[in-house]
Amino acid sequence: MFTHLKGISETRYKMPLKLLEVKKRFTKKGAFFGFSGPLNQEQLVRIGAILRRQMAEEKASSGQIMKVYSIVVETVQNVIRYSAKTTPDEDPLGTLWIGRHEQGFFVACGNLVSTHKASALKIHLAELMALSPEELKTHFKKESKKPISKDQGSGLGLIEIVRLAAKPPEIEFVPLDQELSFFSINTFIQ
Amino acid sequence: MERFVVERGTCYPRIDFDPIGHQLVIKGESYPEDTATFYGPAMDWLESYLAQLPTSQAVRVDLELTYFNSSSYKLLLGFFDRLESAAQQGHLILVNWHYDSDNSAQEENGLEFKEDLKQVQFKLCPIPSKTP
Repeated sequence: MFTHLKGISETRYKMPLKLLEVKKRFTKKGAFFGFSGPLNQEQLVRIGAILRRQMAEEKASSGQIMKVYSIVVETVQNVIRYSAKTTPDEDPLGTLWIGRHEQGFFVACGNLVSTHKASALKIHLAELMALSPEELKTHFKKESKKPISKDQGSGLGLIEIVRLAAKPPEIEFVPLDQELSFFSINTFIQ
Repeated sequence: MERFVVERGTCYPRIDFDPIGHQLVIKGESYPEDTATFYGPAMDWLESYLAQLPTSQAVRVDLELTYFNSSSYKLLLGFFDRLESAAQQGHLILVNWHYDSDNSAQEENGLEFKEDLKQVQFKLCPIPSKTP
């Protein structure tokens, strides 16, 4: 497992980081917040606090702040709960970019998923994105009445993300090896 | 019965259930890591409280949630279900749903909860916004 991570330390010395390239891409995409590393509940609380301050500086409305905040909470809690991990004791790794998009904002979040879970997730997301706002609301209500499971959470996070999104989120699955894929979801809000 | 109190945390609300004053308060934000574990003791307390409550006794519930995540929503539905069945048994239950008047998400949530409750009296209580 995680064969794709091997050799990173060797290449790091052979290749310059080109951080400026990353920074340029970050700015070009309109991002004002970026994080890549271990995610846990404490980290989510910290990110939430920074985010509210930065969005207020970006002159976002309180409604926009709440929507972006909700999407960040749901996506990060999904990473914490469902992401494939290197060891059971470690916090899962996640990558998060938040920024401006047209008149609104975007929240992009990526993490590792096991390939067999990826196909189920792909189907689930396609089903959700095919629903109208009314159907999504009904589906959300129906799912909320199911009993909560301790390991799997409420199963409502993705429905909530799609509900809050101004247009269908951009979804990407990049296979890394036979076992793992990198899953990313980019959600836009008005 | 003992009063049930949980102080407000970074990602969970203050809970204050008072069996003498018959007032149940939940106030703050709610997105704990494990919603079922966090709210479990409060739901157990509610169950025992309602079981011993005389029918003539009115209960006042004050909820002021500035934000809650999707799994907290699920817990709130369970909370309201329990209150609704108590109200159907004849208890007088009044829920005050407090929200900032510029927090449209919480206004909509309140309206939706109200729609599903038949016997519980559910009142929307907007808090005037501080900035004009």
